[in-house]
Amino acid sequence: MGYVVYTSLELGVWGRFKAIRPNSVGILPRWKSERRVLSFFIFKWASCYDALLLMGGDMIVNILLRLTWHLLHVTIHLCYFAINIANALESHLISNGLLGRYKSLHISKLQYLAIVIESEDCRTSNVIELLQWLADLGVKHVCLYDKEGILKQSKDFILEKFNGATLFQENDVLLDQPLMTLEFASFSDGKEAVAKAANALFMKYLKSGSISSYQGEQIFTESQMGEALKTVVGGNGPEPDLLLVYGPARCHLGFPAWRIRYTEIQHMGPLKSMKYGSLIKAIYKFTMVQQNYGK
Amino acid sequence: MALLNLIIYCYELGECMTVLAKIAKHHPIKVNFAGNLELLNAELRDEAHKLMGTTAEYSKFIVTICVCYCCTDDIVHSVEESSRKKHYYHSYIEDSHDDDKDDDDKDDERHMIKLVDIEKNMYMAVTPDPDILIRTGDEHRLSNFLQWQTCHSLWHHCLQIAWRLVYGI
Repeated sequence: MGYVVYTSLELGVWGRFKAIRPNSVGILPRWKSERRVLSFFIFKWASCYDALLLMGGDMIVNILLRLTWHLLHVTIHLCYFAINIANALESHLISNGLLGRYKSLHISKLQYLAIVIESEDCRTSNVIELLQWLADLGVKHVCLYDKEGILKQSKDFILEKFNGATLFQENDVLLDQPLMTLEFASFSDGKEAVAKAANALFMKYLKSGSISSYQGEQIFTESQMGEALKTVVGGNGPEPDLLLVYGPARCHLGFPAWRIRYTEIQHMGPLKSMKYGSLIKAIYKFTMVQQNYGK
Repeated sequence: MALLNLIIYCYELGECMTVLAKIAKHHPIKVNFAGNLELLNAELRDEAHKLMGTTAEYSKFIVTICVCYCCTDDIVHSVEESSRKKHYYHSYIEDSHDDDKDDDDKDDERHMIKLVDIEKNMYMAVTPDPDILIRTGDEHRLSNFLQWQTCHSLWHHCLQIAWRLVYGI
């Protein structure tokens, strides 16, 4: 007695045991009923095998795709880990003055520096140390920003502890001054200040009767908006040239939008792991930048 | 030279709109144009409005293209619109409630422009604030683009967008 052996692929293609066709030669059974039963079981086995293969195939493909995605992420994380180690080493070399090109900074290009700090990261000791580094580098005008206004609340303490600074006054001109000027800002000086300035403009023009419902007519200009913002906020400095972000996330955390149109933005990492070398590198990179518009 | 660049820009924008219109025919993509479209020539403006109208019903995939847009202009435009609406409301309230003198404080609050009014009237109100902002060209500044909307957006800068996009996401 012989049997025909059919591969599952052939069975899968045909789908019905009546349409089975042999692909490999075996031994045919002599009796029809035996052959029918055998074909039935082979078909059942083949169908299950096909189903398992299909299910397993999908699962295998899914697993492979997930593995590829995770491998990609791991590779990128390893690359960034290596880059961070290289940056830490470079920062150490810069701090010790071992890299020649960072020795002379054209600090005069940096008229106004802004520092954004994550509110949860606001340790006054770190802030004072950072200000001391900036004073040593010759930076004259600094704006300190945090979203919650913690630095604003601690401004008296900071000014007391850091002897080399005064509060930025509205009429201060950005010239060489003996002491560093400090401005403190928070989220309320951003979007909410724009809303207050909008009301100031609205009231002014309501009284003058200049507002009309004609859609195409421009009633306010950017310079009027800028003037209204200065009036509303008070002690508002100019647009910073460079914005350093100290925090886990690369975002400006609501620094007044009106003031960072063309500001260079550098992410420095968390404040607690700030490095002098990284600060020098950020300022150096700014001095090498070319802008086609603005300052 | 500036005029030549402007003509090239308008021609390329027109080409861009033609390509978008062809894509929109076969794929359910909603197209928004955000910005001061009054600065475009009439033909381009009509094309833009037509494309926005044709694709308005789709919601699965939305593409917003900023044309004649900068953030400070968006803020000023929004303040103007809010002022016009408040002026109309103020005039209407004054005309219809002349006898109501007791609620002066409430009236003052209603006449004030709030932050939500400004955000509602912005060109970029058609789309939510971005989660990620990617800038190509290895520049580290926003160049007057979306600094209002990107308070809490992560931003990346890169020379080549493809692999950085993978990491950013």
